[in-house]
Amino acid sequence: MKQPVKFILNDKIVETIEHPAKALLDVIRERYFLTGTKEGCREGDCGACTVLVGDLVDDEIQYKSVNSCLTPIAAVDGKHIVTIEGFNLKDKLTSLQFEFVEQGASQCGFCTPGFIVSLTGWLLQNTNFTVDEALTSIDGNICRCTGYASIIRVVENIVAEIQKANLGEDKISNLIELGFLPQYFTEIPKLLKGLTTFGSDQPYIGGTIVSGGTDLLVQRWDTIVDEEVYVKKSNGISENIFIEEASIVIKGETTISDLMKSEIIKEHIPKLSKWFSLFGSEPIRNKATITGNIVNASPIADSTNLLLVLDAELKLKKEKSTRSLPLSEFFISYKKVDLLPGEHVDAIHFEIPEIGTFIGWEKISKRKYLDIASINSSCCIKHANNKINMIRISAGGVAPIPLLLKKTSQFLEGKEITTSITDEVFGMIDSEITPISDARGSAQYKAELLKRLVLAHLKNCFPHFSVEELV
Amino acid sequence: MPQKIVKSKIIFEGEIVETIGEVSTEEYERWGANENLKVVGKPVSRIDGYDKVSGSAVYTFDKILQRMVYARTLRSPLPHAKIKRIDISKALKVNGILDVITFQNTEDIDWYWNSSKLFDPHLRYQGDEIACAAAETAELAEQALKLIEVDYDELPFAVNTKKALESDPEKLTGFKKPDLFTYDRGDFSKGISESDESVEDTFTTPVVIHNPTEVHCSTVAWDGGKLTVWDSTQAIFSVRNAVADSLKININDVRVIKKYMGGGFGSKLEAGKYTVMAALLARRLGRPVKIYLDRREMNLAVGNRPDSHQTLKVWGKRDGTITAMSYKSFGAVGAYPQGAAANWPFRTMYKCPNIKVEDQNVFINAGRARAFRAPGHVQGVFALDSIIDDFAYKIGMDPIDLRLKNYAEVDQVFNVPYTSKLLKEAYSAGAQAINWDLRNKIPGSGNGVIKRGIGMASQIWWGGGGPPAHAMLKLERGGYLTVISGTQDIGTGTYTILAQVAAEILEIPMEKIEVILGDTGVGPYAPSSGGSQTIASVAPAVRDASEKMKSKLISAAAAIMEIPEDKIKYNNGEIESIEDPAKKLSIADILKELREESLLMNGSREANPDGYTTNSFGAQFADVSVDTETGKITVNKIAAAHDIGRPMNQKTLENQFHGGILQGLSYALMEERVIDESTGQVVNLNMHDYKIPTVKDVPKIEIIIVSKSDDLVNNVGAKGIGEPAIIPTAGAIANAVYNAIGVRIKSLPITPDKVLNAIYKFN
Repeated sequence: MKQPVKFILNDKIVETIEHPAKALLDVIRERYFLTGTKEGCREGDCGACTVLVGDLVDDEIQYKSVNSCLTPIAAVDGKHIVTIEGFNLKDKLTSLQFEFVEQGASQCGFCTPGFIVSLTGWLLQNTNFTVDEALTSIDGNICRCTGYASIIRVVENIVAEIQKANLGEDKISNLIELGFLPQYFTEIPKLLKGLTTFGSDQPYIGGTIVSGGTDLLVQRWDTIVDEEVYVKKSNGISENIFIEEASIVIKGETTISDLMKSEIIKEHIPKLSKWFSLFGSEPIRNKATITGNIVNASPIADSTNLLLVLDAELKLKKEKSTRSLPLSEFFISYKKVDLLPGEHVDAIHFEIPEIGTFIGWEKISKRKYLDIASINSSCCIKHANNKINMIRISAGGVAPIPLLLKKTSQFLEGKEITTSITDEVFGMIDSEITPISDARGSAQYKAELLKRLVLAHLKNCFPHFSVEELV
Repeated sequence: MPQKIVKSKIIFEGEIVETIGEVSTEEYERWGANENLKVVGKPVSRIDGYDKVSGSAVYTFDKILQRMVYARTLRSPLPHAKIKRIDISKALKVNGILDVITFQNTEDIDWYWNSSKLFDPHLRYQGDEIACAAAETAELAEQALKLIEVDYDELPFAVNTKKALESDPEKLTGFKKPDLFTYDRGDFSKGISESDESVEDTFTTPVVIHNPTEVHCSTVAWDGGKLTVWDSTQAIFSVRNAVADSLKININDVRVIKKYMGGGFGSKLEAGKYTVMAALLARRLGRPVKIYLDRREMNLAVGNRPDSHQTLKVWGKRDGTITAMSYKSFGAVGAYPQGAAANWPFRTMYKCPNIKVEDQNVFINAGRARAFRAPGHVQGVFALDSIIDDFAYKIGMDPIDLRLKNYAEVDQVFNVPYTSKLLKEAYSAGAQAINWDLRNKIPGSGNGVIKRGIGMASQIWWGGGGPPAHAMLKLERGGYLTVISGTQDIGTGTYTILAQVAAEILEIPMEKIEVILGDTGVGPYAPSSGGSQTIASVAPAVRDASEKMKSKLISAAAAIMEIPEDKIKYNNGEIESIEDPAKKLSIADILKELREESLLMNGSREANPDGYTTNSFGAQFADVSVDTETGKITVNKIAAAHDIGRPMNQKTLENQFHGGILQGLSYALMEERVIDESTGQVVNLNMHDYKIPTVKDVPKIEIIIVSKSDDLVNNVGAKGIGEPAIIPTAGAIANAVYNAIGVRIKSLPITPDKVLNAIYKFN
């Protein structure tokens, strides 16, 4: 069951034999005794275990931050893993570490390595350096001591420094020059290219398919290491998201970050990358796949409710046979989906939205970032002259499954938008939802919020439509 | 004799503790303002900074020993049950699973002040310990737990505090109903008869969980009959004593070490069962054991801030004079003895001669409460400052003017003056920082969908520290100094501040000072890191030792240079002849001459001054926006003005305040343990469901320290700051929300759900 894995750990090539689903965190800490990477929650919600994964894409090295507690070791085969220890310079601190000390930005210090890894990862992978984006890169790092003010000062200072420096083309060399990285980073692309791995590109012969693992390693971290698993390699964005016969095709292993970065998505659903910054945290988005989000069947899955209004279809695959299924028919009851044993989601596709189509996505959660929705809703409208020709509205968190508000949509189709229809719309919504009271809010609250979100969609699509009087 | 054994009084986490302990009787000249000082009070970077930013700091969770095995704990899945049968045989058959301990194969060890056992077959809450398994890996230990067969007799339970209060407590836990706490002052009915107006309301607060980033964990190893315990603890001596008593071994056969730890906030102030279980397993196996709790267990079994249901009534005159106040509250201590009272601020914060207090602890079948950053005060101030606000609006008075009108000049419980109290200064500084005049004179009178409001609340806490607290200094070759004490740094900056104090007196550069804390085998006794008492207790002991070391260096220089001591002065870390400044010795020179490798000195905290109470004071002001369409609350700004004696280190101080305020904000708006009342199961057991703020939830925060030094409290003038920071935040936010929308949300957390409900009255 165990298999060999070979990767670059900081500045050295390492080889080990592990169960493919063993958490990278445990390998780093227990096999290599690099204990700067901490375990805080083992569910990707604290960021103490953040490491960087570097990979060659078109001959260029790209880094992203991931939660090592949710990363199966086989997924890093042939890659560069950077832990906090991998940034340490000889005899001095990196510019970022220095700022952390200078600003007093670590208190108990347990979360500090995670912050430094995330922020250095952000420096490595970004081109547009703003304070806000830097803060987004640490939205998955929880600090319970400092209140973050000193960390924000660090961010402001390094952003100012980087903006002044203008990193340009040869970013890694410039980051080394500025003291943010050790010298060995320049050698990594060459090392990676020459790395012959053992486990890469093995064909699927059976077992549990692990792609992102962000839910699986939370649920079954202790037993997964006894299971037969197949860790699916991730491809580049262009291989994962492409256009085929006027449809956008998204391969199953596409991560949320891939989706946010895809040029195709940027062209056709330009706001998606902004919306999905509210999906999990940076390291979660870097690992979590869109399929996982769908198959998990959570009624409040952030991507599912968008795909529902895009009328997406799933391509399901079992060994050699495939079948197609509209996403709206995939969900049977709470956490139950139409998926046969051994079957998996190979791809998702939907028609390219026509120009002028309104697409909206709204999410309300207890905490703005790094949270599950209390409720969420998407909407797709084809319209002309204030008249709705076609509308699909979805709602999450108000039923046992991700829901299409079919009656409400039907009612609105062909209608002209005036405030006089709001009572009827509200009645329609009430008639097709069944929210329950739970830790994320009372049933009444969720119903009220959903109505407001539907109004928000309409208001965003038809800006003249005023709803002030509802309050 | 400069040392003496005396009786002294300190207040620790609301308990008055009389101590007899060794104190220093030396009186040192007070330092005056920080401007006079070179190191203390300056924004000195923490001396453990490198360790923390490089990942090289080894926390208890990181401790790896040769031949170490892992232990995990089986906990009750039920809120109340008795174990009918337990069978560990299947677990023990698996290769790699080494041992399982339960009540059946271990000796009885008393726990929770003899109310229960280490393994008690009577399980009183979801999370109560049933068994502990050791295995070669954590995964195997986890599997062992699943293979343990347990049959239960399920028993009736209550997880709702109100319902539990109305039930027979002996049926829920087997314990008697705790005694009602009462407190009366003055002539209550006279106070009422003098009043013109009154307000009354009931406020509730949720159970919240500490959730420090490092989980509770220990690594233990036996070396013959000696036990070393690395524990993530705020109280090494408490752990040592509990472990030695439990195992019936000598105190000096147990050594407890804690170097770095990932936060505690009170949850690590007492010894955990897990440490003793690990020690038992390690003894049985003859191998070191690492035991840790996972995040789920952290949310079940290592304490919480108890809930409160506080009914307050205030009577007063139209001019604002409060004439009487009554307080009645109950709160859940969980399934084992503990306190849940929240009435301290009510008794002391505002001047009122006639008051009546009743506070009832209630047993419920859920995790036991523990001290959580300013226990009682956070809950108490929210309710107290809400009702005070109500009274102010009722009589049409500025809420600050009302507080000034009822300003307590003395401690009303002990009827003695304060060593210092600069609350008036805090009111005025905070009001200015928040633009107090911009508040709605009539709550809720703002226009638009987004309504803005401003509110404030006051803070009181102890934190003056006290004896016994000792420190040792060791000066070595080259003039290197080591400060040793038996307290611990839980991340707050104790290492750095103690070094600053020694550096200030001995004028040794910070780089030459090392601080060793958190080791019962090395450090002399110093208090636990709780109650905001560490610096106020230990820093004076370090000053005492440093001043005495200075005298010792002068006498050494006198002997070496053959000059009388009174002709010698200590100048900038060097010891020189007053008459001929060219004649001088560095500390390194002296050590070289003495042909000794080290010079030693002990120091102790002085006694607390008789006839005074030490409290810290402060006020926080909140500016909020409430979206009346979604119920979402945005905190725009918190201004915090506090009297905390001398600020010892600007950097660590700011962090403590920002961190405390954000925890307070989170308490006000987000955090709550949720239990399903029909099953007794906690539903938000991980950080996924139990939300604490991220970097994106931070408002603008302004910290203003109105004090320079409290010269009466101790020889460094410091009062504690860890707890004051969190106390008034929720009260200030709640009052600001009221000011914004004109409807008072009386139950924390103030969620969008409650806001919308309050505005539109769904139910």
